[in-house]
Amino acid sequence: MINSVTLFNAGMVAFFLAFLFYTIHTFSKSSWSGKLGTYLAWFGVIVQGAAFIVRGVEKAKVNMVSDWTAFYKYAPFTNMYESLMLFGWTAILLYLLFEWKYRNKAFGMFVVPLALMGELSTQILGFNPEAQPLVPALQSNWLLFHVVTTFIGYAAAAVSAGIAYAYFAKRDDTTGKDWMVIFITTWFIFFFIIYSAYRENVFLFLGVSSVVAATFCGFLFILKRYGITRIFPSIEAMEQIMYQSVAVGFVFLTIGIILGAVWAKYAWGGYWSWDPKETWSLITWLVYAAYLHARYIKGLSGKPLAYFTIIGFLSVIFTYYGVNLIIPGLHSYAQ
Amino acid sequence: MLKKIYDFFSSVKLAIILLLTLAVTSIIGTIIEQQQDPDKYLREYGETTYKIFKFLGFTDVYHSWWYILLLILLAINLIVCSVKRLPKIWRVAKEPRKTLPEGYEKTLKVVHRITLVGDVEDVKDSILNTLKKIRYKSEVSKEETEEVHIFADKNVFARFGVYIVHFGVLIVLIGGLITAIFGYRGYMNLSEGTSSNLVGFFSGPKIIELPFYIKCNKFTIDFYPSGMPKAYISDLSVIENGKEVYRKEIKVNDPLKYKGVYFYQASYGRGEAILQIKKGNRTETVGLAFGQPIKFGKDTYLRIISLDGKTMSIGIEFIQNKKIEEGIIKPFMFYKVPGTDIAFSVVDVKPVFYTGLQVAKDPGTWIVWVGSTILILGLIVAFFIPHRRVWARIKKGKEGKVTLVIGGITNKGTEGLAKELEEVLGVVKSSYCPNTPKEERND
Repeated sequence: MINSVTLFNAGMVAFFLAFLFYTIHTFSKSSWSGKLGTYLAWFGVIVQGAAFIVRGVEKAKVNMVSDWTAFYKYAPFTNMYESLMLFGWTAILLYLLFEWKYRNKAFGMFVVPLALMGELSTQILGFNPEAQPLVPALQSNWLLFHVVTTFIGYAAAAVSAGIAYAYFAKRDDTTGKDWMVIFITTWFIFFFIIYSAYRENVFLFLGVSSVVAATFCGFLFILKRYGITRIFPSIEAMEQIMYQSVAVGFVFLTIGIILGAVWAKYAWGGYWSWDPKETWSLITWLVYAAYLHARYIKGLSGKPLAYFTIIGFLSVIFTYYGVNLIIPGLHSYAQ
Repeated sequence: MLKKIYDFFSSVKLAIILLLTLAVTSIIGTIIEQQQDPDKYLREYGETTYKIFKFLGFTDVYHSWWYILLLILLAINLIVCSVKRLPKIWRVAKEPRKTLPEGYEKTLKVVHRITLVGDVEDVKDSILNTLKKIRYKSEVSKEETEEVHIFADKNVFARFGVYIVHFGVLIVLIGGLITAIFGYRGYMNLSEGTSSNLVGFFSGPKIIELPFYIKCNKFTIDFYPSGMPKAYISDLSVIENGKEVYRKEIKVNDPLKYKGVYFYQASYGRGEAILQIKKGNRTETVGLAFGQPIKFGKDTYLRIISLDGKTMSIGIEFIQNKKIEEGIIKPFMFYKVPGTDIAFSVVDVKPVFYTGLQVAKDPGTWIVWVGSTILILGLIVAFFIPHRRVWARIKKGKEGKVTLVIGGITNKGTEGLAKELEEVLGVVKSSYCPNTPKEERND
């Protein structure tokens, strides 16, 4: 029997190769490399899609159930390993859909490695990849629907933020102050992700996140310096894609929050308990709601739009990652 | 003055400020633990800080006066904004300019100008046909022998998506308000074989009496081979007027519902006290799970909280007239309950499991679900369904030629509109353009 972890790893290899070919495509502009990148990314998505199914079967086994109609109760999204796999998988799938819609492969080089880093971090951070049985609170009809909608929301937010960063590399008037903000915000993102692994050694942890953030900024700067950002869509088109992925993210986050409320009603007796995870999801929702209104009245655009997009994503990252690791609450099983 | 208030509340800027203020202030409640015992705050933060927190409402942010005020302001803002803008949107949606006078095509997002060979009437019919096929509602808005104008409209309701969303949010807020006023979430602890109709609350002396009794027939915990708990199961009966009217096994995520009250599997614990209750010369023996109140008289309740095995002292809470008094009693001694002719004694304490039920009644839930559904539908309409409008002007030219100007607007994504216009053009081109089509684009 094929193991789900093997399939997940095979998918990661495909994503890594896809990233290489996307990069070759960006620099050489040869169409075969771009095509190969896309095929490999799709291949990885299919392999990991299969991995989720195998994982579901494994989960049903450890939960000792044989009722296949109840598959949605054992959806494999219940620990940090599975959740990060889903995050990476959804982000790449969403990117591929965007690529297909806009016929532009320029962002493959950004989104694929970022998603891959999310998946790889399960290895570095030592999250348990074994299929574990479900504690009673997680045995719910709503699990699959709540998690999937929420993660489409998260992935859309990640795509919007990735484009916001690329946007700064594209603009001609990006100042030192902007670079500072890019550094600090990416630093924050890595802060939450690396925190759990290096909690006992704060200096190492500060150092590692600074290095990663600096590398990211340097990467963007090189793209800008050598004019590689020419292959990006126009400034206006990038703003439009940014806004659209936020809109998609907002809709799915809203559905995810509401389905979470339905679940909470059946598990904890109330649709809203002001648990830190719930509250942070509301905070994210409020930030994005403000964003959409600002875009509507003032036609929020340019750098402020990109900043706002990044702030929204920081809130998402904190809701997803930070709350589980830092604040205890009803969702703390996700550790 | 009234006008000023109205203007203040009708600005979207206020909405943005309120949304962001709510977002920022909500963070407080995730940093400071909410609704804890004063002792806990005093230990963690010291007295001065605790006093400041208490004053600012930081120990219960989401129920503090200023948080609720922000929500009310947001609701007012939402209503006023909608009332102000709705008539304008209604006019745009329902009373558009339907003709396309010369030069007006410049205001359209996508425009094509093309010269065809054929008859005005035929071109008109062809366009109307294609528009109908791609589900436009179209009409001829100007009809003369030399010049015909067409107006077509699709998904006009999409203009109201935002209002549907706002309406949904408002309903959710109302549901939340009803939950806050009429809902409750208490608990009931029942050991096997015991029953009660009393719902206790973790903080405070509040006790609710239900019009029926809940009896726990059996409580079991299933384990995985690894020793991890797999399921908590309580077999419960509803007893009304001395008869069992309903029975259900509940689990986490699968509650029992009776007369609008939900019973959830929430926790479990150990400890059951056996009480002897003397009333006049009648003696009764009952089991009582730790933490579960028992009623002795009007507004008079008792809870057994703990047992200290070493000193054989039993911790109790005596609740009378909404006041809690903690105390310690000894087993086998009879205590007279003040204000009644009842005396009780704890004759045994068994280390058996009891099931911890969360008891909730919330008439606001359904309103929240309705509001949420409206909200989601509204979002889908507002973000994913485009409103599109198409105008066409067909004008007779010289030598049997016809000039066609066709264009349109949309409130989101011009690609879809452009594609549809291509489709319309493709059809007329293939029928009325024997030679290579000549198209003058004016972008």
